[in-house]
Amino acid sequence: MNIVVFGLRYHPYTIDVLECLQARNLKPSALIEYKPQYKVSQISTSSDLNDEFLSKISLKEIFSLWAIKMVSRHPILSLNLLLKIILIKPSEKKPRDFLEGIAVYSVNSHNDDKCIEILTSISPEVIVLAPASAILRQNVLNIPKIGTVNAHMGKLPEFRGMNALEWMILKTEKAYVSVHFVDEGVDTGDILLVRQIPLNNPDLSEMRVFARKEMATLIVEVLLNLRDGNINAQRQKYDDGKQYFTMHKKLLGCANKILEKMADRTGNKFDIK
Amino acid sequence: MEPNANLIKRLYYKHQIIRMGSFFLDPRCYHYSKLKIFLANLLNKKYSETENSIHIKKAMEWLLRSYAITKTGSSAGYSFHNSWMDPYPETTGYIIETFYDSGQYFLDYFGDRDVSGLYRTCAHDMGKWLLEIQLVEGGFPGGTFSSEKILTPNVFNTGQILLGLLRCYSETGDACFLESGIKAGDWLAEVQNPDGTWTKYTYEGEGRSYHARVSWPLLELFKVTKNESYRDTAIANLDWVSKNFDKNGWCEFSNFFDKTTTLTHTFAYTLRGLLESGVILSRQDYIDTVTFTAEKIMKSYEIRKYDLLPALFDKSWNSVANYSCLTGCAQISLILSKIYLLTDDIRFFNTALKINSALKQTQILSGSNQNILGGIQGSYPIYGGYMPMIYPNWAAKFFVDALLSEENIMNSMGDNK
Repeated sequence: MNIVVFGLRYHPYTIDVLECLQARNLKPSALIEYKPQYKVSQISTSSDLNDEFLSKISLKEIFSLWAIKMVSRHPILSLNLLLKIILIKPSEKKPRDFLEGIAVYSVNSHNDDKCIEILTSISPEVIVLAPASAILRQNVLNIPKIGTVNAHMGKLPEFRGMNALEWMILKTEKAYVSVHFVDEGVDTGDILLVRQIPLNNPDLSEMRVFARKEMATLIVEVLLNLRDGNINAQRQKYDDGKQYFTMHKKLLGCANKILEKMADRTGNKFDIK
Repeated sequence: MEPNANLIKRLYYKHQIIRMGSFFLDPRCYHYSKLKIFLANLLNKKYSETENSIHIKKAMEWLLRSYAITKTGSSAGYSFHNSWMDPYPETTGYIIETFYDSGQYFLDYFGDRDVSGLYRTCAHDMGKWLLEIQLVEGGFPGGTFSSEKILTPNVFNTGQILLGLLRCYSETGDACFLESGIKAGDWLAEVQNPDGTWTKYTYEGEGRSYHARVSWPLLELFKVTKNESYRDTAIANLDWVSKNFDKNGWCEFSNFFDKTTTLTHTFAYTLRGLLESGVILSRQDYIDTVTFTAEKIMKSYEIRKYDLLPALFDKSWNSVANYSCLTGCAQISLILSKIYLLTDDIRFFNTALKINSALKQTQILSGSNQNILGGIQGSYPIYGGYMPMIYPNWAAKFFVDALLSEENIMNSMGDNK
């Protein structure tokens, strides 16, 4: 299966997806990276940076001149990140074999002409978003023969958009991940798979790490089924769901409280490894 | 002389560079605290955000000062150029509600009887002053109040004062407030046009959608008196207003004079009037109209990642201003919170929380200049086109209202807060 991955070699989700693909013997033809304006803030604003991820990246991959801005705004967080990356012992550094044999291309945006040129020459069957630089235009989406696939940290069609995991916890006290084809809307493409994930970790950022890994596993499962022709896409109606936006810190606090209560009820934490 | 003055005024409001220049040309602006604000705004340097109760307390202390300065009504605001302004009957009317509400807040959450009592007394005294300035025909004067001015009644201002009078009546039971409210309501009904608009006794001389915020107090009066003429007057206007909304949620005649744009402040007046009226009348069509438009505003705010809403929007919901109207932001936030309570769609409250956070970061909580401490600017930056270089009393009022609403909702979320 001719697969192209959109992402960044130093992005936690890209690494998860590449590792899962490797584990299931699905080798992508290419990784097409985009150039974020603020390299470090691209990942530093994520709440799912764990030690495991930090052991897989090097300092020069995420810090650039723009890091000054991030360091001046969040000095404690930045120092913490720096120290974690620097202080990891060489023996604890994870091998970076997830990029072996994969052609890596660099573009300014996944919608630009250079990206379209690369994709046309590769002629992929599937593009996997892990993640993309922006909402993709139709001329990019038209290139792959089967389609463009994305995993979403929320239940589709109900919870589209940002912080879907947190919105689900706040509103339903449940968590799901979904895989869907990508169209020009926000999480509005045909649904390929929806799966519930357990909610018994009191920490929201750990929960995000867990969900992220589930997304990577699920997207590979979907790719295998697409290859074998074992999956039916389910069309979603626009009115079946709502688009959610970045959650305010006060509501994030509420979602975390709910998680803590649920963990108290179940009395255990799951192993995210 | 008069045409020249008007031209200068027009140029001042149109061009930011002139407004900025006026700061440096006026020696009254040469004060450390004013210069600090000017530069902080120029460099977009925000202040730190803290607990809502502290922000509310500081804003209320500023509002209290605006009242203590005049000892009649609340001063219209503090200007960098002209210091404290004359009392403003219109805003004093609706500020009465904020004094009562925040008094109740400090009593309920902090058991502070002294502050609560003080706010209640002020609200009552401001209500009494409004009774004194009511005109014989029943309306209240427009603009700021000065005994030297020729006083003309104004429709919109009378509506806002009616809210304050009715609140004084419900809090004190003193019939004089209701009697005054009835006189005002009768006058509003009398001067309305057959098509539901008000054109006489207005600044604009033609119908405006934000007169929905005159219909709402009339419905409040109907609730108390059961006099159906107030309800019919309100509905005639509200039906006209709701026809002004287009399929994109935009509303005609919702800015003071410019018909191609809408100002968040006056647009929020329109939405609030229609929403509150919809609730009183159980008119789902009014509520749906406001909810639809509020969703447009919410999406515009979230997708374009605004911090504060821009002051002016065009018909396609594109920003056409490089400044924010802080009053409008607070009013929109309050409307979003109210829509959350009506629809249970928490996305509205999420956006309200973000706007409130951004507003809190514009409020000065410490410093020596008591005239600006705790107040809310008309525009951000201070030299923006809406009430430039002024801290209007209604900006502080709606800021407090927005935070009180947030506090009530967060507390209703109970243990998860």
